[in-house]
Amino acid sequence: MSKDYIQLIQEAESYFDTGDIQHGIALLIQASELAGEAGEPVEQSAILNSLALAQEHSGQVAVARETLLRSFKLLRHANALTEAKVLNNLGLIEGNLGNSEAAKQYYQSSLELVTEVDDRVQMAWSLNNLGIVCKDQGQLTEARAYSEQALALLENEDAPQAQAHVLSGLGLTLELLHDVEGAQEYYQRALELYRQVDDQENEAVILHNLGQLYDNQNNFSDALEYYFKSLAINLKNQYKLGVTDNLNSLAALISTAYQVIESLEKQLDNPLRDFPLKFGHIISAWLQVLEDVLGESNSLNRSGDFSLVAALTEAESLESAIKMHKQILRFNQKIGYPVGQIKTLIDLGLLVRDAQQLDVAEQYLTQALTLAEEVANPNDLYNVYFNRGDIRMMAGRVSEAINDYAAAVDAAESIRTRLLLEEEALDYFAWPNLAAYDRLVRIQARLERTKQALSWAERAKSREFLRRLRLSDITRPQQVPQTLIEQEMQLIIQLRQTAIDLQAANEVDRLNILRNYESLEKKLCELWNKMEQFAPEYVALRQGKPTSWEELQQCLQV
Amino acid sequence: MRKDYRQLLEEAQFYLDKGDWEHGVPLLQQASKQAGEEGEPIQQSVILNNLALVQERAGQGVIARETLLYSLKLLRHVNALNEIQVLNNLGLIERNLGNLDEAIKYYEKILKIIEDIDEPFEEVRALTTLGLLYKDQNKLTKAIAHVQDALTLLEDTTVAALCEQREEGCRETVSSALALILEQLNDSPER
Repeated sequence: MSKDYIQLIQEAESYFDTGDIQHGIALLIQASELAGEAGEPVEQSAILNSLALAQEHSGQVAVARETLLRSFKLLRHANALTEAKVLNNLGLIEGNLGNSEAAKQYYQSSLELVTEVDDRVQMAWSLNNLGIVCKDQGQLTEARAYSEQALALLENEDAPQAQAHVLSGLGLTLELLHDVEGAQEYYQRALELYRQVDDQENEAVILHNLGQLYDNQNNFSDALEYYFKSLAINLKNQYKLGVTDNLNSLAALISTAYQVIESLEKQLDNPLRDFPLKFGHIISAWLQVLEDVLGESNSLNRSGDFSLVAALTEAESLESAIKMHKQILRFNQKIGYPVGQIKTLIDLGLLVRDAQQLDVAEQYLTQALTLAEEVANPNDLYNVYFNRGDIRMMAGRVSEAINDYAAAVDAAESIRTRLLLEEEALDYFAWPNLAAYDRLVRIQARLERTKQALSWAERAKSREFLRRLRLSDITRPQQVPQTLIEQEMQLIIQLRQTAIDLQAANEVDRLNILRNYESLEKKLCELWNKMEQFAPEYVALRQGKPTSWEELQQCLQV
Repeated sequence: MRKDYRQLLEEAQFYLDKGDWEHGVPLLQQASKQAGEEGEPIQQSVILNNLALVQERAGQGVIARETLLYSLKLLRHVNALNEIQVLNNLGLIERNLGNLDEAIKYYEKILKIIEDIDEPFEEVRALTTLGLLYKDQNKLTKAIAHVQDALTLLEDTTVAALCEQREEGCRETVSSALALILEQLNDSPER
């Protein structure tokens, strides 16, 4: 049997004790190589450190220096990787607790550490994690750029798990940019890789994401399949967050499906009448599959959550669906998972709304709003405001509803303004994100407030116009000091050039250009703040804020 | 017979693989404590990192955060100590080769690393060595300042006791360094 490095160190020490330095040195060199091969860099560094001291004692000082420098390099690398790993985990936990900024800081620190030691795989992990936080903050261009740079770094690396992680991050971002096919492709590639390395926890996450993707397209049967597959893994392994995500989505899907079926059954030409397979049968079949999987792995009895799933699938009436959602909400609260709580509160609010309890529904949405404001994900804020607006509308509290829809518009626009690539910006206001504008136009028109209705319609249409106006040539008001105007012109020229570079950049360069763009934009915002005291309308127009026709005319006068 | 942390880890893993966290988590906690007692801080930190992930999966995000912060603190401390050990040797070699500027850079680097951890013995040692290196360069004001800083640290009785425990006669070493510098100061017009 070949000796391991610990035995070699012991032998080397006995040679040193007898004063046979050269034999001792030769054994330490061997031990260091073995420790390296065994994937023990910290041990290898310690052996090299001892070796250097022996070399120094035997008068080989220059050689000792080389050995020590190698030891230090190895140690720095190993230390950076272990610290980065903990920092990434801290980022993950802060993200799940809804603290995006704290998560970002941990990922940034981790990125700095691994960049210093030039570890491409770990750099890709940290970059992608940053991308995922940006996504949660509604900064979708940045999110995509971070993840794309991560993917490029991994191109020639044998790191399937890291690749899967990045592909999954890209899928999430593309989904928010309404690129369903792109998201689906990334998820499928990620799924394959996670299965390859037997990472069941993440396999379950991807299966759930695919379920959501189909769910959002109203493809309930495919969505169910993915949710149940994900749930089987999560229940088997007791991944509570995963189980919670599955339960949240399944509860919403099942109650929506039963409501659709109920309304179809009231129609004379019910398209489901002659359809042999009933929804209840499909659900029961999936429950059976789940039971079999858990039974095979002897985890059925231990999984107390299975009974909750079983009860959920039987929740055919609105009342039982509400009861189920309340249980799931408690589940979310128990494990302190705000992201899950927001989703359940919205769904619960909508179910209670359908049961005509509008005041209770509003309370749920208001609770969701408090959490959504803490988590500060603009996508969640949009959903909460929009749905609460609907509930208030139904309760006849029109002015409060208008306020909610307007807040929903602000949330959607806050995402839109952070989209720096043309194709992303144009795709973003696809139908779902225009719904809040649509509500506002219709309400104002019904109230015969033509001017306001027109104003919202124009605002919806003019978003792209205002966005472009930010960097266009507009006559500066005379009251603004010349030095500020010159600084502004310089910054705008630079920003325009950077925007052109951004369009043409490949995936690797995009992130750097984006950072440059952000820094220029920050300077421009600071400058506009200084200019505001001299010409507030002009600055409002530059900042892309909605402007009255009179103000526009004033600014566009040459 | 008392189990070592590796045995405890194996047992914990056995339960965790079956999804039985109620048994797995306490075993991981025991393993972490045991690794600490066995003087294996890196292993302790790794175990805590794994424990945090298990806690996170069990929906205990806030507890997981505490576990990870403790793991990071342990890891940074031990990583810093390991780096200091190699830097000390690098400084020693450069000093023996007569490359005083290079040696100074290594000891300054040690001081920078120490800023983030509480390690007064290493600080006293680096400050004293730096004092002697500046003395060798005849930069006596700087030399005195560094050794004085070391002596100030030793005024704290806890620090003094700790340093004495790590190196017998630690205070005398620092005082001798100061004496050497002052002797050179008396012989030299340079400050």
